[in-house]
Amino acid sequence: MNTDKEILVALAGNPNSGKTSIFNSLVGANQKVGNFSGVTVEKYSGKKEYNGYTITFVDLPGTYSLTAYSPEEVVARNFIIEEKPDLIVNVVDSTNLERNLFLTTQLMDLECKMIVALNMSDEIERKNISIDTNQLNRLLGAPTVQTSAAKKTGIDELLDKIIKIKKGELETNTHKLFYSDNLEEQIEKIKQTIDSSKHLNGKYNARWLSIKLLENDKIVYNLMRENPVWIKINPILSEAITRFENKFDSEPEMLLTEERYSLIRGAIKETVTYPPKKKKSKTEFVDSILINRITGLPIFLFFMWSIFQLTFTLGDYPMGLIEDLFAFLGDSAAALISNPTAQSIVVDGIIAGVGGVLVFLPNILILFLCLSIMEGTGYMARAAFVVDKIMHKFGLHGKSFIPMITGFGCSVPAFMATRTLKSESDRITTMLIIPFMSCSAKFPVYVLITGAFFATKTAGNVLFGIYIFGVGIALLSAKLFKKTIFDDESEPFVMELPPYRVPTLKTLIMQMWFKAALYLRKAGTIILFASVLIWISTNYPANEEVAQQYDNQIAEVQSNNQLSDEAKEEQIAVIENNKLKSKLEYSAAGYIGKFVEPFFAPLGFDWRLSISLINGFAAKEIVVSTMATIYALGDADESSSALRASLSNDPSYTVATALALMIFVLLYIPCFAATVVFHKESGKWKWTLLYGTYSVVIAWVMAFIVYNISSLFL
Amino acid sequence: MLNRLENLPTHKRGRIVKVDGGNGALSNFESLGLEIGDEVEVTGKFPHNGAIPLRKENEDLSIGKGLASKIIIDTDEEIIISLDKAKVGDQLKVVKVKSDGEIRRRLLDMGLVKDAELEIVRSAPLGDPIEVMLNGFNLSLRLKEAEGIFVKFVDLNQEANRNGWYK
Repeated sequence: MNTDKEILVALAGNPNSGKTSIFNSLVGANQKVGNFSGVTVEKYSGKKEYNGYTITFVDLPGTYSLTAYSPEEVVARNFIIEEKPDLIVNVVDSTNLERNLFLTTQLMDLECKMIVALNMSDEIERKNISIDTNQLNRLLGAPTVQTSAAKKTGIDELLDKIIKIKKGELETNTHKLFYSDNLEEQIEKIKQTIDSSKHLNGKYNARWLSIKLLENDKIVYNLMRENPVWIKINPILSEAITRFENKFDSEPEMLLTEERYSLIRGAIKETVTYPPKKKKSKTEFVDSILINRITGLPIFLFFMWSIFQLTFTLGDYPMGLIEDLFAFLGDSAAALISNPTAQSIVVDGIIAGVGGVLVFLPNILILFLCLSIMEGTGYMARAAFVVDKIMHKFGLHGKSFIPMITGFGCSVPAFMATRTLKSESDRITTMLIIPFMSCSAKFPVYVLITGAFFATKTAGNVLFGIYIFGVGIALLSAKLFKKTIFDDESEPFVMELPPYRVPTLKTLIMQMWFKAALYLRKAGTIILFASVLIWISTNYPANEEVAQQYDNQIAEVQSNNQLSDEAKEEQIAVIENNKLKSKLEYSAAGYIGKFVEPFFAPLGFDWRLSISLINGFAAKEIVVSTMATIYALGDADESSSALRASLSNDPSYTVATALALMIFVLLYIPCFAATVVFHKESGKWKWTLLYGTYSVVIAWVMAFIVYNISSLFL
Repeated sequence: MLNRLENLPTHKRGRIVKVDGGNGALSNFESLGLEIGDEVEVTGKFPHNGAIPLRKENEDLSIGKGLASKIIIDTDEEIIISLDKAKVGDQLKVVKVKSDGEIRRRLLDMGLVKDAELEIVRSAPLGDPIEVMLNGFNLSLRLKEAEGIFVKFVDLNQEANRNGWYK
């Protein structure tokens, strides 16, 4: 990098400043998504060829500031300090300069080369606001460009100026931001001390470090404390802080912020002319309907319901198609491969595995389209605003609501939807409780069990009770996690309610696609691998002797001339089912099931249920098909009356067992695909371990309680 | 300066100018022996039951918080309250931010610094969080977070109690 014809440009700006739209206009589809190292903050970068130059753009996360509090802000400033981009394009929302320029003042402190893109210029025109850009250039000491991603204006001018700055034909960063004498005096003192140290030369800007020390910045503090020069800096700093305390009854941090804002106010007064205030803006009008006291909640619930329906009801059609396609591929492959082992591994292992990955794709695409629309229009912040009170009671954030609702459909997209939550504690807590929101794959299990053990009248109530029980456990667990591991810390709800805007289609599609690509690349490969592993564990080790016995029986039936063809087929089907049953019994999964039987015994589960539950880790609906196999019923599903009869006629099962089983299925670890996605999203083994243990422990304890109490009464 | 009796600090005085409420509030007001034009002084605070003890001339009486928020007084005092106590429509100016840690940093970043002007736009359907408008944009914050922000009145929204529900 940094050769003559290559330019590295970082895009910085507030959330909702239209930064991402500008980024998309600059690089188009020529971009890729990854993570900033060490954190789950997405990093979008893309290349643009322009006038013989290759410009690499990196879209930094949207932030209001550059403090050490949020991972986004740390990532953004570390990128600027460590990667040293040639230039920063600071995208600001021209309709809201006061707050947007606050970040600009912090970028000025970093003394990096900068262009300020005054975005949303079309809205400025519409609102009759005029900005004296020349004067603003002078005040900020950086060139400005008026841009509009919606109208695609100013993009070329921006590119031209980037190249001019690279060539040295355009001046930028002409002056620093100066504070009042009191502050400057202290900044200068600390700066000189830092300059005198050889250890910090080069990498950091000494003036910036001084300002950050006065601002009480955690990261800079820790950085400096490890340095020998700290012995000299510490007394100066403490003295400065006491002095401000005495003189202004305030801290340097507060004063620096106040001065930044007054500088901005001054600059705006000098350069921006507003028309006389109109009566009511569009946003105010829409808000008076969407979030007012009476209609706010019902409208919110309606939107949530719509998203759920779109994701899972509409998503069902392409899912069905994908399933059919893979069934067809499996059949075709089966026809081509004659070796039964190779056939099984290709059909039941690989093709079924790939299908198992792709089958989630429609859900993920639709859900993320909906979420992008909500974020893009500005409704997401309102949705959080409406439900925050309830969610906060349980230590959660208003935005936790959406992933939780999504969890009723499927945990995989739900885990991914937690990305809208910014603080790690809120995000991890939400992810940890999502499994208790009963996903749709668990439904067949409930249908089978309630159908077998409860009258049609009560079955519905039992089913509803199970769902409510899950929600209750989820909320209480959230409270528990927040009280214990997260020390009650929660992301402040100091949040902008951005003006309503129509998002560009390009941005929506791109965001949706990148989420999907992330899923396919990161989770998909592991899910595929696991599917093969699970296939092996349910098929191996194969007991050839037993299989041979069944084959002999089949051969016997076939050679029996006294039987009609129909009777033969019937008998063979029974033997085949028994063969499958014994195959599962002798497989690794079967051994595991029998091995863990003592663990399940206090819940009233025998080895058959144990195996089913173990297999349920592959996917929850497999619990039903495993039971069918174990009862030697072949391909029976949850509505099969034969399977229901086998269960309800089994003397070892009671209503208490049925309830305990449903509670266990409700609460225990979700399927493997979900677990992989959880791990990818949480990023740390300790969370994945907690997620696995907590869910199994709580499932066991609850099932135990339910089993014993209901054994007494039922 | 006009303000609500509810916001008057202990040992401060004000003159009642009107009751900003319906007939129920008005008859409550009258049954306490209060009249428009009375000078009253707040003599203490009972934070637990929410009642406010008052002295009118030499007579001690106690009124509920709800009624106190509907009584508009004229006072010379500069009244400073925490932001969570303000009502929809009130126009305010920040005096000081006393929060700590991340919340303080967030508030400062958003421009809630000394002398910033803001207006309470609405509260969420369930009463918390609230939405304020400052520097031309809308910001939401929880009541708990608003407790650390101290503000003085620029203008009091006298209609808030009567017509505020639809906001």
